[in-house]
Amino acid sequence: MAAIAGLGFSAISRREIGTPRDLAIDAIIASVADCGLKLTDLDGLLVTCTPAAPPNTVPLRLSDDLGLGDLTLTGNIQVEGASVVAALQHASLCIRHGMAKVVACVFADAPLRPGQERGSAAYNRAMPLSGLGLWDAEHGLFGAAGAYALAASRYLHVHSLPDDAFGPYAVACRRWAADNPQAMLRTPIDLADYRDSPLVAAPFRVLDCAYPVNGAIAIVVTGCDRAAGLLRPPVYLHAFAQCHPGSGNMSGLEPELDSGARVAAQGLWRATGLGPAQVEMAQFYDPFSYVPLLALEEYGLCPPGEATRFVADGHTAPGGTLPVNTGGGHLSGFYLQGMTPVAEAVIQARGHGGARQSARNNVILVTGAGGRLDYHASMLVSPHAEI
Amino acid sequence: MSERDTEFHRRFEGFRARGELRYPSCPECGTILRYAQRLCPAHPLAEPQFLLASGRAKVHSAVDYHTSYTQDLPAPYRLGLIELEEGPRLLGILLSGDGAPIQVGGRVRVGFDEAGRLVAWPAEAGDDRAEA
Repeated sequence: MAAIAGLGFSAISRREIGTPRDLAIDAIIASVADCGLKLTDLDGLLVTCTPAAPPNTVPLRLSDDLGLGDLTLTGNIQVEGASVVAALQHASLCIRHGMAKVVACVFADAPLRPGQERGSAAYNRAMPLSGLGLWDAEHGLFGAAGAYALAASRYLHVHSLPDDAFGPYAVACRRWAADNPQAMLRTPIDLADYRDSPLVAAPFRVLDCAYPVNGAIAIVVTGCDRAAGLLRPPVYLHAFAQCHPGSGNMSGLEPELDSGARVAAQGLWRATGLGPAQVEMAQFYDPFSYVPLLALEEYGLCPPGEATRFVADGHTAPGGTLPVNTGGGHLSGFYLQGMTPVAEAVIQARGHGGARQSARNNVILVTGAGGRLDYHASMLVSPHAEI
Repeated sequence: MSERDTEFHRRFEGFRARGELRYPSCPECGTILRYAQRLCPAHPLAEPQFLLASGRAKVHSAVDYHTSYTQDLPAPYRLGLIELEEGPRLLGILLSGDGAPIQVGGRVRVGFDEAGRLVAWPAEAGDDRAEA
């Protein structure tokens, strides 16, 4: 088993604050300093970035930038929104097998430029859904919001839910964000605010959608013994699982209700002997409000079709039985893809959440999801070596 | 794109240019393929054949765009993931019949508009072969 020892942030902003490469450097320096190591202690570097970025946006040459040498592990891990969890899995396995001792995993993104500050402008690429090249763009399916809205509409239809069923999730996330100094959107909202927010790609409103930022986050992974002797409490990486169902656009398949999360969940339970009842907290990849609701159901944390009610009853909000996305998640915190839930899991597992810290942090589920639910990765982390 | 991908598109687009919506299937076992597939895993050397779709379908899911991304499609517009009665799903533009939007699960007929885009409109009463 390996453990997370360091967590580092670059500046995070809606303004132009540097290239992803520069931001990645800042985050790696911060992550190493966070745990009391030096850059020269690193013998592994794994880079991740959004699939929307041009090649080499976060290059392997970061190792040269940082003056690293003789790395025994490097690579660019690209599983879209599942990349960060996948990178941590790769680092953990390599450490376990003696291929590296101290690995930095970094994600950096800078989608917001002057004149392109809105999420709809920053992420307006056509999302391939039909499998026919430019077909989806020709028909107007631009932005991830549209592709995910299609899935969300299916979820609402199958479960006979109203169009505003996702509102309580957005409200709960904002409540968490209010106590997170790093969250971008902290002003309290209620369901009336949700219903008044503009429609973007119905059923999604603005408040259903992630809040993009420019920034980077890095994680330092090392062996458990070494992590225990560093500055911060170790966050133990107990299990990883992945499932990538790919396109399911065929009669009889319901990829909008049955993503790779269901299979990944079984992998986590097999690896640990735990089950949904032992999960105390979840940090979900939540670029749109519907995604974590589906995850709640697929991981067995509530019955199928009951997630919106589960959230509306307050279970995932501050003081609830299953704290979810305690930093505000992608909707109210910030959208740094797979690093947003991972970073919050580290903060909560360490007990460093300040006003938003939850005592229910002994077993934390963390997910990453990419494509339009085509790729999924997850992990169980804990402040305890034994769970 | 791979050569296999290029050839798949060339053939599909050729039918589309003639106003024919076709879907891929395996010539060896008859398995209907998803549009994203380029081969049948049971018969990977067999080039997919394209069969003519009936035009009967149902709406699997839908989205209403409130933001315009191109001049050709000013918002608001409604898109649907359309499930052909033969099985495969692909994106299309949902047209309103009597002004009411086509709902998820609704039965539709599909065809191409002048720009070659797939459009769907409500199926007429009695045309019940595509069940919601």
